[in-house]
Amino acid sequence: MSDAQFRAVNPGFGLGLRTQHYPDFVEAPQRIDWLEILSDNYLVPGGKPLAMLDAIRARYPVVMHGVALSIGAADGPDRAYLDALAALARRVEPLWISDHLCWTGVHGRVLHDLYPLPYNDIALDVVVRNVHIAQEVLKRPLVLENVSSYVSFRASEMTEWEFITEVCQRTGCRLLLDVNNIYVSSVNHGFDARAFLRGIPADRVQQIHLAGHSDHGDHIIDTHDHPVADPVWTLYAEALALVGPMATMIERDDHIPPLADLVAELDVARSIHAKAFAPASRELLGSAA
Amino acid sequence: MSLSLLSVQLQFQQHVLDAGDASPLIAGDPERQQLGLHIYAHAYRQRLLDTLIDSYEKTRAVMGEASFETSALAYIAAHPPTSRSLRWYGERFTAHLTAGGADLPAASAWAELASLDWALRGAFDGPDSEVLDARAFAELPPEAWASLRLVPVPTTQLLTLRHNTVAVWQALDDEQVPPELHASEMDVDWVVWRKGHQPHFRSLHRAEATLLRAMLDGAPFAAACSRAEAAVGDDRTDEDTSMLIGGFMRQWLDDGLLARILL
Repeated sequence: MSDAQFRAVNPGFGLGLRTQHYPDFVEAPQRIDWLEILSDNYLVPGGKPLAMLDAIRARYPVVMHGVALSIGAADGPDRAYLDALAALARRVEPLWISDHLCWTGVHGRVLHDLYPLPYNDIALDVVVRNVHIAQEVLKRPLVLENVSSYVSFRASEMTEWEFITEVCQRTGCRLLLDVNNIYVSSVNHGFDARAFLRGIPADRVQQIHLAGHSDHGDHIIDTHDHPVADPVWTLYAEALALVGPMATMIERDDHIPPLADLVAELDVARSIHAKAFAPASRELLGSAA
Repeated sequence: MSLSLLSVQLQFQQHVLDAGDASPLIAGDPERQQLGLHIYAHAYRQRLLDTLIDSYEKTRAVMGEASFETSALAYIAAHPPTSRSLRWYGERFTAHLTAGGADLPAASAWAELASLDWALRGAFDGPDSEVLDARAFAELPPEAWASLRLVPVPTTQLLTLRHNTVAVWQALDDEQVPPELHASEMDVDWVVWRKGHQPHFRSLHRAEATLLRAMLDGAPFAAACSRAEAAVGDDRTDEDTSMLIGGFMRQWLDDGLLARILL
């Protein structure tokens, strides 16, 4: 598939598949277009998780989203993990495979968190090398997500969005734009979220993530346990104006409500998306261009 | 001179694992540095603690939240994760409870409950397999029996329990007040396996446990039966023992415990 063909794949509006909602998806059609699975939850030998995945995959397009690739680790991606992901991809035939632009541990430790990188040429060379390795094993472009963060490194020599742009240009990977993460990090680090949006290569964006967070006043934690916050909806609309019509999904990982509540929340995304690309909006965008 | 990425990541990792000082790496004022570093260190322990709580739900209910958390945090300190999947993180928690409990009379009972929690978790997402039905035996020539091997489904696990662990587990699962966890009058063998999507367990006759263990070891059927006969004892006739073994096998077929016949 060419880069343009890959970019053109837009399945619409999706949700993260969570175990609590297995019965909903198996028993009746749901008003969603696609599902994002947490790849790591299905890297198990067998049983109900894989049986449910097969049953649900027969009904919905699926994207594989992981948390353990550690593409920014200095000692490189784990070959056995990549092989396991590739095997799952053969079973699932996902639209694409995503993970995070981060590292999760080095020297054999896996700390199960998404740590930011120092944004400099040294880290860039490592990430570029690792993305090439991963893309070779997975036989497709990786889709990498910007993470939320609570520290920034003294060793950084460029902005996060400049770093992301370089990674995309040097590897051909694509972007999973997490609008909530941009907002969380912008508050925590005091940067302009709009500068981030304007700074990333819009034509590399493949998908958008939306999620809720916990606002502690002087800092925000990316908890995925609340509905999407108003400033994130606003930023979503602004992101759409820059990247165009885009596959969008909502992540919820804690305090998971009934599926109907998430489908209703997804309607907000549909509404903002529809408004952004209504004929009048298109004319405005066209005249601005 | 710029630090290598590996040296930055090792220093940061040391902070998360063991409170090493990573502040020289971090930009911003000291208060923000410490806040950010604390968020990562806290999230690391909380995520692993949540994983252990999820894996050992019934064990925690019996131990109590405070005792469980103390043991879990000691486990986390002693066992930094090395697997890409959190699924396996609690693999050594039962051994940790046993080893750390010399001065706690309840520790061996807690460890036994933990072994049941973990075995059921293993059965839940263990390997899939085919399941034999009675027709597979009907087609066998009589002379094949002595040397054939019966292969249990790959989720099969045997546990020898010394306490009323299953009664406690079952009461908790039924959301009833569990009995006190105490030592039983005799050890009881249990088999844990998955039937369909559902983990199952049941107690075993001593001879049945011996036969099943021999099959898990890969023993030919005749040799496995000899071991089971020895477990039955001298007060039964050969005919009694044959009927007993035939009954076990009918039960295993009903239970979906057998995967294959190797000739």
